[in-house]
Amino acid sequence: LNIFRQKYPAREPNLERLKNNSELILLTEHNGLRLLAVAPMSNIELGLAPLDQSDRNGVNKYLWVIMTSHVPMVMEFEKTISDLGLERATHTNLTGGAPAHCAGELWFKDEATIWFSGGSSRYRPESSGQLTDVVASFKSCGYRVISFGWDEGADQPARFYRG
Amino acid sequence: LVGTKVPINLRDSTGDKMPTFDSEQEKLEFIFTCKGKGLSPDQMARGSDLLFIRSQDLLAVYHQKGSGRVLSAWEALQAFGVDLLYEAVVDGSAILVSTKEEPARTIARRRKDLGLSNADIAKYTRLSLEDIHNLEDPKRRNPIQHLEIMARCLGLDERRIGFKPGSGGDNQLAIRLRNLKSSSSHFTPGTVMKFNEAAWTIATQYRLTSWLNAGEKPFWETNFEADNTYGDASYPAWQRGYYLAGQTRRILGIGHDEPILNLRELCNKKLEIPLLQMPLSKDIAGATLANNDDRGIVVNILGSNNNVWIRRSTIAHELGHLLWDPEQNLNRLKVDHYEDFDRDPEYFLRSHDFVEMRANAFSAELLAPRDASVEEFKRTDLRHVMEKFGVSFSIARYQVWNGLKRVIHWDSLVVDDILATDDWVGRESFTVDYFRPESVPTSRKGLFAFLVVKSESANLISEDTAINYLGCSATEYHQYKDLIFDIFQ
Repeated sequence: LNIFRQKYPAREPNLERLKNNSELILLTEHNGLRLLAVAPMSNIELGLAPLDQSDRNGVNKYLWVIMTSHVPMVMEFEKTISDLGLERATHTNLTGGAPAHCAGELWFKDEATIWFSGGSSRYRPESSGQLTDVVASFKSCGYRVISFGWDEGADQPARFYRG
Repeated sequence: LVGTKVPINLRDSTGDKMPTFDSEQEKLEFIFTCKGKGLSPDQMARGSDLLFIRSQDLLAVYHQKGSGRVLSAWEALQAFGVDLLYEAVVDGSAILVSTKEEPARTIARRRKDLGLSNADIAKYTRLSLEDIHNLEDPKRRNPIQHLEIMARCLGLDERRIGFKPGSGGDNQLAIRLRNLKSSSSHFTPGTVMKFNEAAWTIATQYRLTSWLNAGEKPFWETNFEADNTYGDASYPAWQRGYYLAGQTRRILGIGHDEPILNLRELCNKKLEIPLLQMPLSKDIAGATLANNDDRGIVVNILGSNNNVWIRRSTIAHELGHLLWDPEQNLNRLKVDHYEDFDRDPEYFLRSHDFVEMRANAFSAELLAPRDASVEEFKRTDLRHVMEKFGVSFSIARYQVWNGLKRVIHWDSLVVDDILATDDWVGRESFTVDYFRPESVPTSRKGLFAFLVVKSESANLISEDTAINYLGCSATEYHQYKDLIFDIFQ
């Protein structure tokens, strides 16, 4: 991950479409925030990747962010965050609005296998090369990564798995 | 990656409550950043500079990159609705496809429904066989441009490809085309795809017209009602055709002896009926086509229609079908052949084809009413009847002969020259012969092109869509768009 961090320096989040300041609230472990550890990851909720428009969140989606010293993650629809007035977590809720290297989404197929996307409006991978590199970084941490890949047409990370 | 504690100081976690954006209006104000300005949804979208980009699978906010189709805010909103745009804005992108099997499943089904092979499509579209195979593979992400080409030749709404199963295709039209293909060796796979492209053009023309006219119905829909009378022994179908021609002239405010100087413009501008002039197989004169609720006329520019006076009678014949025939008699697609146009009414009587008999009589009477034709003939000669009313030799001959109660000898009605004069050619064939850029497919020249340019100017479609609709290059579009606008304006 340090190699990745060196290649892709931390950047400020894209806050063009910030609805309000609650999207900058930094979540705590009481709100389900955790740090991603090397595989296998224990005490996680297994999930299912999204299939289409009607199932766009899949089941048990986690948001992840590569920050300068750690990789926080949280379930997007973690129950306890509603106490903070949030409908769902956003990537800036994992950083408090601080700079980060990259962010995306994942679903645990099992403790060491993840469906993986670079979907984020705040810190998304900026190119297919960056997505490939972040996938490689997660693999180097012991995960079997099923990447959704890059959508050339939209020039964005793909949001579901076609392969 | 090791560790479980969060090593960051917590910020105040009592910030503002997240708004829920329950109403469509609130979502639109957020998407178009115009909260509190009191704009209607239409005003917000039409006035927005926000652009989106779509690929096979995603809709995203456009940021000067990506090989997908760039869409204006208005066209994205019309195609996908508020919720999807909202998701694209909030999350950076939104999943478009309705199921993982789309759009591959719709494409494969439609191709089979039409009885087309991959090789047929490759030959017509110039997509490679591999490209076409990929479009039917649900594991592939295909270029949106390939999907659009495929959608057009299969008669699908390219905007809905992947988004809605079936992509707005008219199933009855597909069955009709397949049956026509099965029943005639002249009705080739290429002809099937040409009619599908025509169906796409007609639907697109109606959509753009409706957007530009704020949803008003076209003139012909509000002023004409289908007529189910095809006559009997005492009141034959041809007589009904004459009557309906008179009715048509009255509704349009055309005098009983007044020539219709520009039938192309009458269709396009007054009646607001898409009229497509395009090359078809040489035995076909024209057709009336319905794509879901959208009806239009397709006229062959090859064969006898090369003479614009004959082309005018083909158009008038198709108008007779479109304006007056009930849907069950059109069966989505009514194809007319040249050989049927010159037939005597007795032939249709024997074959019980009263629909064609009526349309033939309608065509002749609409263009050259008998009384007025006889008047002109008595004053001058048959050639002058042709020149005055812009009709072919056979129509002028029939109208004069019938108008004179057939007392004159048929063989005495002759002319030296059957070719149309330059003024008629200029008016009726203008969009086909003089349109620029030449690379625009013939069926999309004319009013369709004007509507595309006008829609782009009004911010209803993006420049990328406009170029795609016209099928020309960006350079050509920039070079000719003002010219197209000025000529048709």
